[in-house]
Amino acid sequence: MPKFGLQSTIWWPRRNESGYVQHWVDLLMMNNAPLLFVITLVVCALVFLGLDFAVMKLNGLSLFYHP
Amino acid sequence: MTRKNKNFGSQSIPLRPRDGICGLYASSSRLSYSLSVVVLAILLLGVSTGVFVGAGDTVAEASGSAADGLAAAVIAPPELTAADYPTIAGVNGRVTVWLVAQLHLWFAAFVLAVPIFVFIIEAIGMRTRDKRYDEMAYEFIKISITAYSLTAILGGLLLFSLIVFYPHLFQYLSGVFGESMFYYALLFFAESAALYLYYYGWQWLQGGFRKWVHLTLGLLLNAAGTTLMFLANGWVTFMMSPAGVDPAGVFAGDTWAAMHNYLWNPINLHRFIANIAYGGSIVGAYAAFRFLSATRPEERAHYDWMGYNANFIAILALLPLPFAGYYLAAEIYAYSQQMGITLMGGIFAWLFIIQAVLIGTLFLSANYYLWCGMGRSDGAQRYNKFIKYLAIVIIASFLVWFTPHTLVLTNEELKVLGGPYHKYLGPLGIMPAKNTAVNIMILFTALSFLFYRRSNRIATVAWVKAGNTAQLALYTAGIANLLFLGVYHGYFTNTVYKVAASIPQVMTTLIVIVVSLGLDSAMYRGAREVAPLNWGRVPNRAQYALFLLAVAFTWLMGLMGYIRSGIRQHWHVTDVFRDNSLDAYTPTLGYAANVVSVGTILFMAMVIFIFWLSQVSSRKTPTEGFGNQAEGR
Repeated sequence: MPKFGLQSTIWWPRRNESGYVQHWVDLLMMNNAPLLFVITLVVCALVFLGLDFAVMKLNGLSLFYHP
Repeated sequence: MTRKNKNFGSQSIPLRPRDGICGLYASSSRLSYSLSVVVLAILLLGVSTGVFVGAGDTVAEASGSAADGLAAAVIAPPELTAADYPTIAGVNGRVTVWLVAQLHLWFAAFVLAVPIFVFIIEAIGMRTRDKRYDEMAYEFIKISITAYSLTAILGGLLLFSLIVFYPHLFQYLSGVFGESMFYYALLFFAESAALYLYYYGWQWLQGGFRKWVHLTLGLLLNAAGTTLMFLANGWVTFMMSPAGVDPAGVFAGDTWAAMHNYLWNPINLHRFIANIAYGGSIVGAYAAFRFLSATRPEERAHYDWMGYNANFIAILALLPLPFAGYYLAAEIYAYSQQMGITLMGGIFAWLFIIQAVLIGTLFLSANYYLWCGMGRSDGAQRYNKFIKYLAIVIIASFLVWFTPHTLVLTNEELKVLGGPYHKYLGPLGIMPAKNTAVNIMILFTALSFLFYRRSNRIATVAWVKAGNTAQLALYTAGIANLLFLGVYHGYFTNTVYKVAASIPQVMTTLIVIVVSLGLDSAMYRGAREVAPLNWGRVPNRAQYALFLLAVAFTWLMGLMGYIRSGIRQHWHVTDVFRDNSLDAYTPTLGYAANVVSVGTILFMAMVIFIFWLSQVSSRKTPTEGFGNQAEGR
């Protein structure tokens, strides 16, 4: 059962058996690959859309065009 | 003297100080090279100062006053008739100049490119203190030395051919570019001096400060070589997009304006990158040749390693090449829509289909070589299952890449088809589909390289799973963006959007490759090796892929070079100096392809001769009882 509250690993870093400091980011990254995939995908998609928008803007065009 | 190499396992390779094409070969090549270089440089000096062709003959003096040198002269293109083009012994001037110029360019591209990556490999060797890199760089430059000689000889032949078959054109061009031709000749001396010192001083200038001196010589060699190319590019692009002249072609003396014409920099960039890819492919063919003819396992291991590096260089330069080509084509359109439409919408469009097939061949053979090369590693089976998917995507992209927009059809076929465009394949014939396909092809080639890189290693960092997930997401988002730009902006907007969308497409591909390689480098820092790589454990067919790469590159350059030159149509210098020779027409595609193919065969024959020389030079015939010393005196 996942713990909630102040002792939860969700909020606080803690050490594992090897003494490695685990942060919630580590836990997220190592234990929940599908979630990480979705987050990275969204971030990358936003970055690429930003790129598309910027290039189109520089050319005096809009990202979405309805003829 | 032995070379220890950790990547060769426990093998050690015996080396002689003058192994390979050095030694006997070097002394004979030095003589022929020196002579050809000196003769060509003197010829160029003569031409640039008007000694051989009388540059002043077609020069109309401004206001009737005597010229105070080229800067003060006004040079106008003459109006020629067919009688002004000499015919000598029934030889066709156009085909002669075409073949000689093309052969000169192939060799020039090769010898300009090799010092660029030799310099980089030498610098890597200096930085890592890994002797293997230094030795490989030395072997690469050795291959190019005979090619230098042939480049100079063919350059001289081209000069004579132009003077003999196109005297008036050459007079006009040497009038406009006399000054730069003079500097070209001087630079040629400088390049030769730098090359001699760089090559012959390699073993002498080793270690510490001396190595820095040697590296500086390499830099000077490259600076001279690249500047030479830029100068010659100025002459070529002036013929396509003249500048510094009035509408009648009268040149008032500003050489820089003529040199710095509209297409100069696009060609400079395209040729610079293409030369590196081409040079890599030719030294790859050399390594394949030596691999296949090797008798000892150590030799096979060595040439396998060399072939891998050559292929790596070729791929590295091949990846950005379509973008440079696209930029050049866009600039051609921007300079002259008519020229652009002749290029890709008129008769030459069909040669672009052949070009597409050849570029696809390049990508397929480079990838195939990488996949075969994974057999060197015992850990590659982890990635083998992905190869078929890579192959499917690359082949699908390749098919889209060379789908023509319209087909050559009979009336009957047109009726059956219901028009010139195929119902389903027609939309794949336009540029947005091609751009999307080539970007995906490039991304998957980078992915092949990533798999190859990983095949023998096991990452030890804690965030491997996260890293792989991020890589997957990066590629997915990148491909989704390429498809969005290609499909939405390519098919549901107007032409302005189609063209504009190609820029973020290119940037997306580059970002994915750079970020992914950066991430992978961090992930595999301090990684474990599965087992030492088995250099030499690669099938012979992989070597044929290297040959295919070299031949496809050569043929491609020939075809595209013809197109670049041919889009001037009946003009020597576009719109200002008309070609009135009997050959002032665009030949049929079959004829042009045959000329280029003959050139390719001639070039490859010369290249094989150079490779063969490298073997001959390392052979020794025992002369027991022949010489006086052998009698035991």
